[in-house]
Amino acid sequence: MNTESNNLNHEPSTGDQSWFERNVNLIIVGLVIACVATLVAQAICGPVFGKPFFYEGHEAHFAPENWFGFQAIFGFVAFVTVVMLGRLLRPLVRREEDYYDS
Amino acid sequence: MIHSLPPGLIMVLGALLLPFLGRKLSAWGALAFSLASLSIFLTGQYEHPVIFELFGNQLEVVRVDRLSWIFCLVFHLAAIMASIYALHVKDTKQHVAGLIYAGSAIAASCAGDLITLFICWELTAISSVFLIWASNSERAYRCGMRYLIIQVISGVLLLSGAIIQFNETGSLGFNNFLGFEGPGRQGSILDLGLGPQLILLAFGIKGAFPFLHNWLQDSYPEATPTGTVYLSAFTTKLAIYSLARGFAGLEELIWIGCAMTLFPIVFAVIENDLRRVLAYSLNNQLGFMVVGIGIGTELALNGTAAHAFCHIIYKALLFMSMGAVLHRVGTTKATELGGLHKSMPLTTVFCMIGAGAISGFPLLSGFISKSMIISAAGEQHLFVVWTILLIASAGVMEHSGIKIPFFAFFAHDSGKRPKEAPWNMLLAMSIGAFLCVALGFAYHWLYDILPYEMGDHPYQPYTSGHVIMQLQLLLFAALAFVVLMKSNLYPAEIRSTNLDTDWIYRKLLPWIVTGIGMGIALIDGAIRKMFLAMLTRLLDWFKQIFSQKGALGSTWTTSVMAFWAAILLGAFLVLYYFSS
Repeated sequence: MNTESNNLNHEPSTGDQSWFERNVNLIIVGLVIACVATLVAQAICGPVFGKPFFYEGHEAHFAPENWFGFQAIFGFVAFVTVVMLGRLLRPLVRREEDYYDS
Repeated sequence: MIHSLPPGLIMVLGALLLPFLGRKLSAWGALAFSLASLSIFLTGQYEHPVIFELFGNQLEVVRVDRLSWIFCLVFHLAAIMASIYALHVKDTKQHVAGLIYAGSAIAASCAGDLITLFICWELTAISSVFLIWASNSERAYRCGMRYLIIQVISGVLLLSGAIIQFNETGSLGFNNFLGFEGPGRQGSILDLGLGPQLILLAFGIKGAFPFLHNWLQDSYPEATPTGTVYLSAFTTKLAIYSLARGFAGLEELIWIGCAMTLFPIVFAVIENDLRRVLAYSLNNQLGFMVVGIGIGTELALNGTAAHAFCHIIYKALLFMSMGAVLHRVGTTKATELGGLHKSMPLTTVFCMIGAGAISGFPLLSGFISKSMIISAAGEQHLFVVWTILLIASAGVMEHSGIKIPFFAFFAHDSGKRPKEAPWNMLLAMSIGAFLCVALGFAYHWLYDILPYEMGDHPYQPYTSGHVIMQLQLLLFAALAFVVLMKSNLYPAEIRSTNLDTDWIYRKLLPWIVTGIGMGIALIDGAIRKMFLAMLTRLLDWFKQIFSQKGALGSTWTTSVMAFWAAILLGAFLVLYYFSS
């Protein structure tokens, strides 16, 4: 069953590439820059508002909220975990498409 | 006079007139009645409840407080968006069903007693099933039957609970069943009587609690493109409203809600039908709201109402974008799609706005509502809950923020070049997209109508810390997606059916029933066989003894007869002797 459709660099079948398809790498670079920017912002914001990594108007309820880059690592790890759990779940629950019809 | 009628009633009654308008005008009629209902609702004064006497009991047919008001308003907005979205549909039956469905959901959110709630509750169930059946396929018919059975069970549980509650307390009022007058208190399920427990179960079915959830993922992808937009807005959010009304502060709801935020995101990763992915995503979003209801503080309940408000709009927007794809391409399976941004650029943009809103990007609606619930968990120092909600937020980014727009409109080019969506679909989507952006900016407007007034210290969503932390979470989650795709670790889209709890009643129960039937047939057959064999043997024996050579059939000689007669007479004599 050749239905895999996952490759970011897959060549379009018709040749009329759009801006997005021509600039996949540019978009990824932009994303990386944005990610770094959030870390820089956290590093700057903290000292500006007095305590390190403690923000204006935000009352931290738990210690990890004040760790540098906590939410960044959390977001990355949580995303990977969810996807990997999906990979584990698939063999358990996957059936043919017409499973209920047959 | 007109303001003492339940809000939404004009939509239910108006729906009955639609068939007389003809196939072309009925769609416009549905829109007109939705708009009329909204204008009556907005100009209405609802300070006093409308009481209706029935069999000596007072039914509070209309009670509009702040909690009802916000749900009523967003239900109206959803109905208007959905009816614009369905303007091209020539099938009158769908407009009638959609309008009754929306109207009864609105009326239900203004019900002050359990009987009125029950009537509206059942009306939403019966009207909405026609939106599934309107797909006109055997598959949709069967799915609609399953949907209807489950919804009616929910109604029956609600009625049973209401009757028990009435017998125990003498009241049919629909208020907090834990007896709390205001927010900020917590109780347990064990504090509830049998009646409220049954009512909780009824709400739980409609609210798609874990293990009671699967009607949602089963049925929503089977409805028509326009039908699913209606479906996404009302049933589950009516359940959320009802839970907030009846069970605010019920501790168990926190954990039920946490489970709801987590398990659907894993299923969504491997689901191929993008409308089903959205149904899982809907389930996950309901989880946030259920957590808020369980926490039960002012901030949490405000967060729940705000999140329901924003959610109805962005979820409708996402279902509209996928409906437009279904309308133009004929499928929403990720394996069949990709590259549609080239020919459907506007739909792509609207879908991405919806995806950004549900993910909670700053300046979009999800950010200003979801963060209230997460902050409420923080304020109550519920660290585990807070962590789970953060994981769930990353999960939302996965299935709705990235997967939906990416696999439909980008990913590998399917070579399909469908036309852009019809004008009315684009208009409805643009209204949804506008509201997503507007709520992200003008959040004060939403905060002003939340159930509990915030006073001098309103919740501040846009603190630098909050914005930066949320962006870190979302952008690094997006980065994780890129890494997984580049390393081919992201599970490929595959045509498949993924089992969920519906397997229990679609496969296991039929197997058990068939198994029991076969068992009974087997035992029954064996008993019949044994009996027949015995009967045959008996008959054979009779045949044998009555045959010419048998003991009773053969001719006896006179001497034998005389001998037996003498024996009999002798025996009689002995008996006579002893008896006297």
